[in-house]
Amino acid sequence: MQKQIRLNEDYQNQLRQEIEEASPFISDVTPVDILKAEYADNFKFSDCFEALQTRYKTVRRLRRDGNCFYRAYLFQTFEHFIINKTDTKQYLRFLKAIEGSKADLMALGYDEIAIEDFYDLFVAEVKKLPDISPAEAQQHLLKLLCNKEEAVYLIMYARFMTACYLKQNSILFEDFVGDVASFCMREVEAVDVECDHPQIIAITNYLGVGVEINSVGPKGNLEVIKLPEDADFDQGFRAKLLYVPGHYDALYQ
Amino acid sequence: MQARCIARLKKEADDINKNFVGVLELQVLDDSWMKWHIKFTGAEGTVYAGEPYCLQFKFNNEYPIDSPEVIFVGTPPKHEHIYSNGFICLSILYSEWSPALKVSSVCMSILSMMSSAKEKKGPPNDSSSGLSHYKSPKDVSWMFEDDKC
Repeated sequence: MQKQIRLNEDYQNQLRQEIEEASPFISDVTPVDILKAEYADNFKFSDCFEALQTRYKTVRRLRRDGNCFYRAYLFQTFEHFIINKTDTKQYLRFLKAIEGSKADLMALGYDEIAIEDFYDLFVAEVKKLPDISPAEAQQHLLKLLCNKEEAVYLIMYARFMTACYLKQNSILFEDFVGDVASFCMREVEAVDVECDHPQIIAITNYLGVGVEINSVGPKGNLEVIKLPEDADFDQGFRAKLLYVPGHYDALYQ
Repeated sequence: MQARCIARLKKEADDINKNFVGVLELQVLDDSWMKWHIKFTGAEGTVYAGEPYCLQFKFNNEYPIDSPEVIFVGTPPKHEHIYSNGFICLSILYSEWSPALKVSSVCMSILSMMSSAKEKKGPPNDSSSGLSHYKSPKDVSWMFEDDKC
């Protein structure tokens, strides 16, 4: 059981710093054309972006820091509840899930003092949403979700709720992810770790807000995937996301 | 972030002083709350039974988002995942750290890792690891090869 220890060349830190300097956490809305230009060298993607333009007009780019899915999902979901004040049914379902999450996590063995700071902040921010005027949505959310303080806590709590659903329903996931507890440690709760389909299925089910993922298909075509697939989720709002391998951005009509 | 960090550390200190009496003995080393020593004794029925050890925790303002730096101070136990300079090869201290963990849960993981040892024996690469060049174990790129490490 020899432990190999190699020199850390600070490569990851350097990479992280370069990314930070190059892009904001969440950009302003930008015409989707920008994507076509960006991937112009990649012929495989060009059909996909042609098709995407017929569905969506603008995009918000997310920083590639491992949190892009969670940040985009929270941004669009919060934005929906600020702008669509009449969607009380889905909002109340969302709020109820969040308010119940501390008890759910503690039932799974999480310690109250380890999760309550995250929980308290998340609940408080979700309760504020109905009182924010639609005109202030963008300003409010860019401030809330683009910083190294509150935003880090909100995204971390989204990770805890993701782990919560995975553990509550471990029988549904263990064939895909192996031991669910260790999957959660490695792939959900670790800071800045990227998100894949099991995590997306978990958080969307837990919070009652689905996603529609527009992604590049195997032949370079546009593929639209809805998670969860259940038609129930089509009755309510779904966050609209663009997926290019390894990264999520937020789409707008 | 600092206010949140200190508030969390104070809650954890209360928790240790209240719920780990006779198991973990906490000493907060300075007014800034950022450096702790935790003393414990090797568990009965293990190769370290009755032996006193001391862990040092150093926190930064990003705690609990960022992991604490944890090393043994004084004489570290001879264990295949514990180096003679006090560094500990345990995934939850590095790549698998989660803010859902606490100081007490880290201590209990280390105690449990020690308790499963069958003999007192250091890491096979202890002398050749080059770890003495590092100021902090968090700067090392650890390779974790089994569940415990």
